[in-house]
Amino acid sequence: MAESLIRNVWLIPLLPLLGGLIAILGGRRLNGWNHIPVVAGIGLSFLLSAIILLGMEGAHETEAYSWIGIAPTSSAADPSSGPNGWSLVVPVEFRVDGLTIMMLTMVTFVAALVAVFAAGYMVGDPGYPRFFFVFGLFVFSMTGLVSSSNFLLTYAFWEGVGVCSYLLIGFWYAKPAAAEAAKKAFLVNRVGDFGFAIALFLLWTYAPNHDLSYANILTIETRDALANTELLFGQSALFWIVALLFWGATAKSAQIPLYVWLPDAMEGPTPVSALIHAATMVTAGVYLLARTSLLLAAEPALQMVVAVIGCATALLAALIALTQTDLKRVLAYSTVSQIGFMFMGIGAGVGHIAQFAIIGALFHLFTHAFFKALLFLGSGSVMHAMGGVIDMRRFSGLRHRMPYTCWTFAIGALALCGLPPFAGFWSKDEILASLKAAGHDEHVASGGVYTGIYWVATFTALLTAFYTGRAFFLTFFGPEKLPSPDDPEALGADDHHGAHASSDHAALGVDTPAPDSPELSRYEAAMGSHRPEVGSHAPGASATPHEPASHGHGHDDGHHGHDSHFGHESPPIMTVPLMVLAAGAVLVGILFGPPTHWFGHLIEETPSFELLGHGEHAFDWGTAVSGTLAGLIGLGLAALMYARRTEIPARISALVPPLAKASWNKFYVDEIYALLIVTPTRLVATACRYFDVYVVDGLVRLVAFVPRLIGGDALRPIQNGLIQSYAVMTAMGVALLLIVLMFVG
Amino acid sequence: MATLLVVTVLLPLLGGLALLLAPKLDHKAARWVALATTLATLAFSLVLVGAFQVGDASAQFAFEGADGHAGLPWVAVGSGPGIRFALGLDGVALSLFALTSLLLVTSVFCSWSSITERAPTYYALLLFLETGLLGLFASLDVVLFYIFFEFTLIPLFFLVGLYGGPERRRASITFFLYTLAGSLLTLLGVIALIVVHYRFSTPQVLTFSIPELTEGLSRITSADWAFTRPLADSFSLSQFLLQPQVFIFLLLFAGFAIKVPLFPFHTWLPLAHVEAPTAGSVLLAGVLLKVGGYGFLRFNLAMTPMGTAVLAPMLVAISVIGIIYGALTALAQTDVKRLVAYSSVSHMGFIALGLFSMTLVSVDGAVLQMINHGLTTGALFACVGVLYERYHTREMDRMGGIWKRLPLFAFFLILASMGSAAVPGLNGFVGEFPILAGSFSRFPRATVVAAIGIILGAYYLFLMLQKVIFGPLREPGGEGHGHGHDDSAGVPPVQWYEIAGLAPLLALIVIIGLYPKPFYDRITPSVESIVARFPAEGAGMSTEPNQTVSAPGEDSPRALLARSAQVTAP
Repeated sequence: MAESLIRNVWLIPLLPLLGGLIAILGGRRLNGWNHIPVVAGIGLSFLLSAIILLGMEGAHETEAYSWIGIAPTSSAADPSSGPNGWSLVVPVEFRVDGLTIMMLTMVTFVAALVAVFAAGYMVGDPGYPRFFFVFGLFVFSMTGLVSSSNFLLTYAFWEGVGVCSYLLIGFWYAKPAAAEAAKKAFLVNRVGDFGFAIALFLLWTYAPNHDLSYANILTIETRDALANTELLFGQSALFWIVALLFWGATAKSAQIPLYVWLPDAMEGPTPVSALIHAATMVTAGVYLLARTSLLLAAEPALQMVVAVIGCATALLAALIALTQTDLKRVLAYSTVSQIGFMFMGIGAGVGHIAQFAIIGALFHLFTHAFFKALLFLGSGSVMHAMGGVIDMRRFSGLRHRMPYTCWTFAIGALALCGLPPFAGFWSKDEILASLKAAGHDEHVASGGVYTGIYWVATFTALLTAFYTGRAFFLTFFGPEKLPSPDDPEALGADDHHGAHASSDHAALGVDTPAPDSPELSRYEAAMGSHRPEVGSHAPGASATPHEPASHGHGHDDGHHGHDSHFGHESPPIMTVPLMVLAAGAVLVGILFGPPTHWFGHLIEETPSFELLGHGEHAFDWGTAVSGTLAGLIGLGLAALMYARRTEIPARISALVPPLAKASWNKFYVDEIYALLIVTPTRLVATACRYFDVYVVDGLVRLVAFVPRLIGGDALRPIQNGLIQSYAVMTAMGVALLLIVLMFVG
Repeated sequence: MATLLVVTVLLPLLGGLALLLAPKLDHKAARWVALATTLATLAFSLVLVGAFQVGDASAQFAFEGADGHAGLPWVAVGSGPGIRFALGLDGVALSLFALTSLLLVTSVFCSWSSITERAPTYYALLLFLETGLLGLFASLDVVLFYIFFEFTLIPLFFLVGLYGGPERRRASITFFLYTLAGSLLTLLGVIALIVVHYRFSTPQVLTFSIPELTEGLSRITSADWAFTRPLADSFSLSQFLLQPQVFIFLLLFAGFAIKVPLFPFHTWLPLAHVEAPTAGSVLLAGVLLKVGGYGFLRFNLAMTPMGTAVLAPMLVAISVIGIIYGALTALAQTDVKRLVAYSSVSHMGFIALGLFSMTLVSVDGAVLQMINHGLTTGALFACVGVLYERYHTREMDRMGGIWKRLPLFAFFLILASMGSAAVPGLNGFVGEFPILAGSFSRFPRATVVAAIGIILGAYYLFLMLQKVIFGPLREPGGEGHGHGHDDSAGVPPVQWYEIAGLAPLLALIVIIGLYPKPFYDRITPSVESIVARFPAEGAGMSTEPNQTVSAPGEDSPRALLARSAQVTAP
């Protein structure tokens, strides 16, 4: 059973795609049941992955078909004759090994649950079929990404998930902020893909046989060959390949300097944030670095850079998350921060702890998927109940109204804080332990840096616990309050939102039409204008979202028996996935982590991983205790300051106004990028536009004018009105221009 | 099959003549006649595609003349085979041939409701243009090629000049004179090739056949080429220029570079595009620009390989400048059609980069990218036509949120833009990646700069998407009234003929992206026979003309680049 499945592993990506195609082709004929084929497809894929997982032995590769095949046919082409006769042959091939099957199982499991949740969340949206089509397409791309067996195919799926992300962030296309965020996400990712692409060009040029498959490249021989090829600035080809792959990973995984797209990506529907922008796609960079860890391990200087970048990102994002009031944005920055932890783990893969550190990073990727998806879906449940409002200043004390959401969210929060025995504890502890071990390893040059990173990481764990606790207490504790347009905070929130939107708009220099009223557009965009019936509503009705008629996520959902979920717990179709994920957030750490070493053994079944350095590792009680303490202190502080409404937060922020303001404004990174990159690009573009009309075309006209000028005085008889003679003159002019431009310009 | 090829080429001509001569056709009858003709032509060319022997590099479907030369004798010149009516298709020509017949169907659909005045003449011109293009790609004789090459200008001149926008006269005259000027120089280059071949081939044959010329010229030794050189001593700029292959290369280059268009010669393009009717733009971008690329491949690369090798660093530099410059200029446009026009400049820069990098992979990629660009840009122009017909403006600042009004159109536009932005899984990627990988192996620094064009390409296309289909609905017609909902009656949904025109292009965009292998299988052998003529080392030929082709075995790209830089900097 498992063996035939391993040979047909391409089914796992294909089934969700088929489901998605059925969902969109069925359209309205499916009568709102468009989620069924997608859920079924993803569910089946999960089953297949689980069967393979249990029956797998060693690695296996299968080729589906030949994708790009450019190869010299004649034998005359001598491979030693330079690049003229090189071939580019890229099959669509898939693999099964420990790393892949772990990712496949995790992705399909979380995706299936999120799809079920989304079936409830998206009810009544006119884009329902489209949503599930892109959802299926995304799961196809993501499973393809982690199971592809060569670099180019990985790159293809890598961009594929980016496209799905674009389509889903911009799902509510009428909302200018969503359109802007979608474009920003795609472009920032393209900047990263640029690095990835150059890495592929390097690999294709210098790798033996010009073969991009993992089996060819991830070997000691290829690595040595690449390391011995000297390239730019005295560095080897290997150095540049690894550096550029890392460059690509920073964009996809939202690390410094390319993290800026992820917080804005929260404009998309919340299930999308849970699946793509928390659990799966954003961890693709970690996957890529883990996959190529054999190459990375040969460049310790770059590993240090990876660890430092991860550390800086984790700290920066945690600092920003401290002051944000949008629940989803807190979680978004938390995701950035947690992926920073994973990068620290990857970066700590030096010396004899290489394998341990990589497995630690991957384990954090694994557990993070469960608890972060849980937290996002919980915030989605809150948003659903609050009529699309997600600003934590506008609601509070929801624990009685939404008990299931509240307590599952609490479990996710505890896992994120890294308290034992929740999943996050085990994985974060492995990363901290490997950082500490890297710092104490006498074979590692400048181990002091790793020790420094270790302490910063522990401090970041404290901050993590604090902002997580803050978000939880602000939302579910304190006096009960529901959003209402009369709320004084509402105006402030909308003002902030409006200012934020317009600053983005100015920042990117885009002529997005300003909405007539920020308030109206916010509600419409979040809740209603994507549904046809709202289009016929008077604006006044749309602006009062607590009225059942105009909020209406579930009002045509007959079997719930009541008109409105406003202020109430979400239906079971949404809370059951929360509970399953909560169980996962409690259990996966104990079941698969250090107590059983099951996860580690699975990942060790990846070719090229056994080539990494590996030594013995006892459970390190020191990091466990200090990490737990950091979590407890952070959580305790949050409880102290936010469980009941106190004046402490205000006083603290008054104490350090510039710092609090900088954190609130996300350290002005967006503005800096706008000033340094976007605005100059657009200025140069505008300059090119006028240069083209006045200089280039002007030159051409001048050249065409010269013959006529001469003809006007001396050669009038030649100017006989025949088009041929003009043509000859122009030809001469153009020839002159040609020569001038070629050799003088 | 040879007869079928001739019939396929001439069928549109007959259809066009019938339209012109038939009395009092109204536009409805005329468009049906045009549609039937183009569909029949498409069907015939699909038969040819099916009958094509994969793996054969030579031209297929050619008449075998009684005297052993391809084609029918036409004009006897001297004792040789003379100028002949010889048609045939190799893999490269076949791809462009099929693309042409497909895009003509789209063009007819694009004109379906927009052309009502003087419709028979309009459709006749379209069909004449089709014959010109099909004949051009199928020609195996230089004179025949040149006749078709110039012939295409005439229908296009009238299509733009009679049926275009407000500045159509200036646009059509500029376009006509500019391209004509270049192609006259090309003619000189072609004549020079024939003369050189006549003088140095043994036995002396005066041939006009493209395959025979290519073959014969490649047999001329570098010593013979050097003999034609007037100055024989020290290396200087003038000597460099007067090197025969370089000089002939530049003559040939003039016409094709304007057609493509490469960077400083592109200014006719935005003007012509903006003024041309939709079908004109589709054909201009979809096929006519490919004539330049095809000419580069057929004449410059195949017949003057050493000249190409010498000039390659400069040509690559021009291509890369074109990629970045075109993309930046597109970014600053507010008119959708101008934006797509400048995007063509950028994309054709990629194709030129692939061609002038002279590796099998990059040239293969460039040929496929010609097809891809024809499909995506054709689809984009058709989409712009859909917009223009409804709102009579192309200013992006005046519209927004069109997705809400025309969801199907939004889907088409997104798919075409993504194909154009080289998203994997769609056609742009499988063309652009080989181009860049191949050229990276020879010109790494230039390719890195060119790859920035991928980022910029996504920038202007997604900015265009954001402005046109995202955001709250804003329709140009209804702005003054302030209640957009009620004005919607005047905006019809996407019509069947618009779908029929776009759907095949979009289907091919997806199919090529997912499974490009059949296309590459047909292109590769023909490209390989051309690439095989290149010196193994990209440059270094000019300094030691007496040296044979094989240079010392240093094949690192950087060494190559360094060496060619020496050549170009006297």
